[in-house]
Amino acid sequence: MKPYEPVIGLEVHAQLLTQTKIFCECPTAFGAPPNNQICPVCTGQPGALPVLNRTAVEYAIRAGLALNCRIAATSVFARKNYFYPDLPKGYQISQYDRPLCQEG
Amino acid sequence: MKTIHALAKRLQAGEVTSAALTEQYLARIAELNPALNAYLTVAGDLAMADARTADDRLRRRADLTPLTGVPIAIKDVIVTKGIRTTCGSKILADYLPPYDATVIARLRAAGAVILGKCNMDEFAMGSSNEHSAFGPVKNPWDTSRIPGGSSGGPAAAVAADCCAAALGSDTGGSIRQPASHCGIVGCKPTYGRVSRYGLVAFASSLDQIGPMTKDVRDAALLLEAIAGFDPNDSTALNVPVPSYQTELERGVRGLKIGVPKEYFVGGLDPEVAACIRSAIDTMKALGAEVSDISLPHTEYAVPCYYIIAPAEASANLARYDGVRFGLRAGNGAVSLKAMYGATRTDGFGPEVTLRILLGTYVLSSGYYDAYYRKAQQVRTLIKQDFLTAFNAVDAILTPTAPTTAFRFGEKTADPLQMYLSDIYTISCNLAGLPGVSIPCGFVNRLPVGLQLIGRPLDEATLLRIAYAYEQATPWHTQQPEAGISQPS
Repeated sequence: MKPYEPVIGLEVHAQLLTQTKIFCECPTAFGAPPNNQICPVCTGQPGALPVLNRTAVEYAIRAGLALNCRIAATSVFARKNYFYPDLPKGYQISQYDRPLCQEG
Repeated sequence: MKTIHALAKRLQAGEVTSAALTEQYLARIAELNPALNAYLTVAGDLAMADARTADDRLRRRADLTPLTGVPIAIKDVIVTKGIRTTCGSKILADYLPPYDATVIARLRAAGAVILGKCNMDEFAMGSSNEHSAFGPVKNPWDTSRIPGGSSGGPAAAVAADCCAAALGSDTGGSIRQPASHCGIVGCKPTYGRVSRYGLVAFASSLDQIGPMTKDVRDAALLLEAIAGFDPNDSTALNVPVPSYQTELERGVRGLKIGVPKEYFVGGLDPEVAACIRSAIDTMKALGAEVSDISLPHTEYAVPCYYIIAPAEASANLARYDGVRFGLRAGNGAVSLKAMYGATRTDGFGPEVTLRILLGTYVLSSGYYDAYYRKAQQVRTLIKQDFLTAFNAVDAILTPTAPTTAFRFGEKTADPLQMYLSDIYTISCNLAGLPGVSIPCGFVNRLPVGLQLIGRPLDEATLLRIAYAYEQATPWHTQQPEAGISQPS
């Protein structure tokens, strides 16, 4: 039997300690009453558009630097499409072929 | 003619109140809309409240704009807080937006009165208005004919004087082609000139909101009111908005206008072509230098568009899933998947379904490179054609549409025939350039439109050329006979 080469990828999730959500102005404070930290953008209302949180990008770059990544001068967000009840827009705004940090 | 600028003069001179004007427009809509089907929602009470607020502002002469007290119509793809916004679709038939689009907030701040929401092809997909879930709009010039699409409702409402002016949206010609078929002025601004926040997305990299008006001066002042940076839209350009109105009267002497040979080929109605040729002669007589140019990748624009636009639409329309808002079908469905299926099957019409399927296919794993990436490359070539042409000319002149308004049912059997209605307008969206359609004649009593395409962010030159032409010709003053009685 040919020996296998183990290739292991880790998917690590972290909640960033930003004041507001990643694509809108809603606060991220814990413990507020229900439906008080939502807006047309994060509920995926027709016509709403995302605006990227600058601090989230800065934190991602810090993480990339800590992991010895190459930080991209130009980076692209991509839509990851699937249907699920907790996914208001029917896609995640994610990164695919041109992420912020690579090769760490 | 009840243009914005004419009405503003009368309102500000105290000759008429906004309340009286709004009442007249509401009465006219009640009279003509059963025949035209241009409005899906008439916001009578809210409009009267807007009008009274405007009258108060007019009395105090506080912070007046050319729009203060002027009744405006809105294509039903732009969200309005508290006024139903359907996008011409059954899936949003009862949707009440919780917020105003940026352009609506700007119109309100300027003191405009919002009369209601206008009919359109479902989710702005169509060139004839036959794809509205609420029945087609009729062309006021001939009610057996289509008004164009997708902004057929606003175009018909402006042409029949059921509003002073309107806002439409344009993804592949949806402002300019119906403007051409209804004999009005339609302007698609540069991509990024006007905020898309609150414009329900069809194809996000192509969509723009723009004015649909009775003359060029109105297009200039309405564009001025809605254009400019918006922090809520990351593609809205942070550049100054010129005073389009003051640029209007500078004339065309010395301006260079290019006429692309690829736009005068098979499919162009000879009588429409004759109107365009005659308009070219007028431009020359006014002092413009007209020359032939080439846009070699023109023939790829329609196929390229019908990959990119459906691809973006397939993702943009995923949110209509029956979970949070809009239609939910299949109550009693045995699974989540069955509820999704029932909702989307029941809620979307055939053209929207077709485009979602097409878009999902071209984005699917294994086909992305062959279709979507290739189309993006073609799009770059089309844009380069234009930028090269603009080294030699200041604007490009073409027909807006290959024919005048066709009859209902004429092109519904073959989607490809329908798609060719936008053959002259689509490139402008792919290249992100501004385009204006203005009336340039009649064929068998049906209006013909002429399109001007400009450099990025150079709406001013387009409007200036359009104004010079308009001042030299009578076309914009003609009104359809559906205009039975004129409001005061």
